Amino acid sequence: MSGIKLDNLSFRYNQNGSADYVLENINAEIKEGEFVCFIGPSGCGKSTLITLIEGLNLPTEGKVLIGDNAVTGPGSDRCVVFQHYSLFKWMTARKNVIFGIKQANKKISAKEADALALDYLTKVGLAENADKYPHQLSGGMQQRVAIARALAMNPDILLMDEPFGAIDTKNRMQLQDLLLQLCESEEKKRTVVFITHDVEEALYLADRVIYMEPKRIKEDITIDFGPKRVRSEVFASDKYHHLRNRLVTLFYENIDAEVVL
Amino acid sequence: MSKTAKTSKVLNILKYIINIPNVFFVGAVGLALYKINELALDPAKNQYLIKVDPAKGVIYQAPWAYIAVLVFFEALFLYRLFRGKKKFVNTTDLYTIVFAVFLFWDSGVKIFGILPFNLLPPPQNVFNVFTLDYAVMIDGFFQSMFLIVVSVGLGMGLGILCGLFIGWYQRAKEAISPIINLIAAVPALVYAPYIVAITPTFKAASIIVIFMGIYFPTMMNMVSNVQAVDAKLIDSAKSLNMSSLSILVKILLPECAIPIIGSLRIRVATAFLILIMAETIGANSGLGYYVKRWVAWSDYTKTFAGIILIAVVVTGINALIALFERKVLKWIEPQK
Repeated sequence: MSGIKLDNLSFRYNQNGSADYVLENINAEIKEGEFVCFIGPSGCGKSTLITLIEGLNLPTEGKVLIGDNAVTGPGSDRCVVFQHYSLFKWMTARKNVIFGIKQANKKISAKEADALALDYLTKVGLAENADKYPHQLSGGMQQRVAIARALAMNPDILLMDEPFGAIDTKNRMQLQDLLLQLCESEEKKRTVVFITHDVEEALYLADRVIYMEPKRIKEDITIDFGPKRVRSEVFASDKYHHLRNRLVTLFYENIDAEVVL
Repeated sequence: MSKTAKTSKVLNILKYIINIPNVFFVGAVGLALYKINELALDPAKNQYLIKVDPAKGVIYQAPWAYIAVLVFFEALFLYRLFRGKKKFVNTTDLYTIVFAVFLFWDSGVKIFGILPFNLLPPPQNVFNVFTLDYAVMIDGFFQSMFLIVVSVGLGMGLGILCGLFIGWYQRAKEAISPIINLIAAVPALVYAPYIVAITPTFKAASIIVIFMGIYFPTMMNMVSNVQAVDAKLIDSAKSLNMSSLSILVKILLPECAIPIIGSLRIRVATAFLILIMAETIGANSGLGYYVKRWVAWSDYTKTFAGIILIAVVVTGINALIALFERKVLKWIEPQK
């Protein structure tokens, strides 16, 4: 079981002090195999939520349940891809992936790990660049390596914290398609929690979009563009425009409120 | 081939033959051969000398070592000119200065007599020292290098390790860093005489002094390097299920490797500074001792030679470190 349940979750940094809550009474359930996007303005706590699911921070109140077990720290069933700093710059792309594989599975032999790494680098289209160092790769390629490493570690839950946030539009589209394709082609259906501030990205990728305003969940929207979606068809559909308007309106409400304040 | 093309080719060849460094080189060699016809074997010391005015102490030694140095620079110049990647102008500029310095130095002694002969010896006497004293110099070089390698190795190794732990554990940092700051505030040169006095051998003393001078700044640098590491990188490592210890060794150490290796050059320079200072207090061999000894004897020819030796050794070591940096840190982003 790798569904995620956020049970009355509250969090503030500096647990003893009087710091403000970053998250308050979050309740949500993410089913196994579901692709959920959290979207919202900066500072709404969505990145903090990822660190709680991963176990990098522990909740002040409430709990995060994976299946039936509460999260107490990072585990091999979960893996995060961040916007930056995911790769270790002193290792080649291949070594980065091998390092991840060995962390996830200590018993694996060097030969198997190498073959698996190359397999995943091929899947993300980087077989020829496997022995380059991160600085020799473009930002998009670096994120491909990060995704390859995360998938090669074979986690049940893939956590992505604005992974395409710093990448140009064309590359971002390619990466989005790659991610969908990888999620569908694997035998194991992974649960994906994806954080973004890009409405189009959220609608195109997710099965469900959760809109967060500071500290809490505001809207939970189910989206269903089917498993083999085509970008142009999705973007042309009335349903897409309807959902996009709804989400953009949510962002606007936020701006109006700030102007009044 | 047209006539103009032919002329420009001839001009080009002339440009490479008749340029200022070449003219200066010929001038310097010419000046080095000054009164060479009076060269005679001094039976007392079994070396070639030109005794121009023994009463005033003006004795020119054999110029061969000096001429060899000039020829070495000329060969380097020609190599750079034809094989190097730098522009013609940049290469000639550099070697103009090199040969001009030798020319002015030599003419300052032999023709203009700017300073008394024994205060400013001519280059041929200075370079001749290397042919006379090479055994002492090589011995001194190895003595000094041994002390440098041991103490820099210990100082940087322990400094990096301690810095890593202290930077990582906030509690350790808060307990230890005020004390470290206090100790590190005292320059090693200040307590060097004291340590030389209390330690039985000079070797042990200089290792301790250099170690102190290297260890504290390395450690303090390392602490701030570790604390400057982005929290996202550590989160990323934690999400790979790494333990604290393996994050320390496998992530923070390589992450901080650039500034560490970048500081290696400064550390070695500091080590030389402290060592040569220490050698002037209590040593009986070594590069710094060589200089100090001949200053005490007012033999400025040998003093000059010792200073040149130290310059060459330190520059050579810096070049080796730069090479090491390029080999080791292949993953480093190219410097812009």
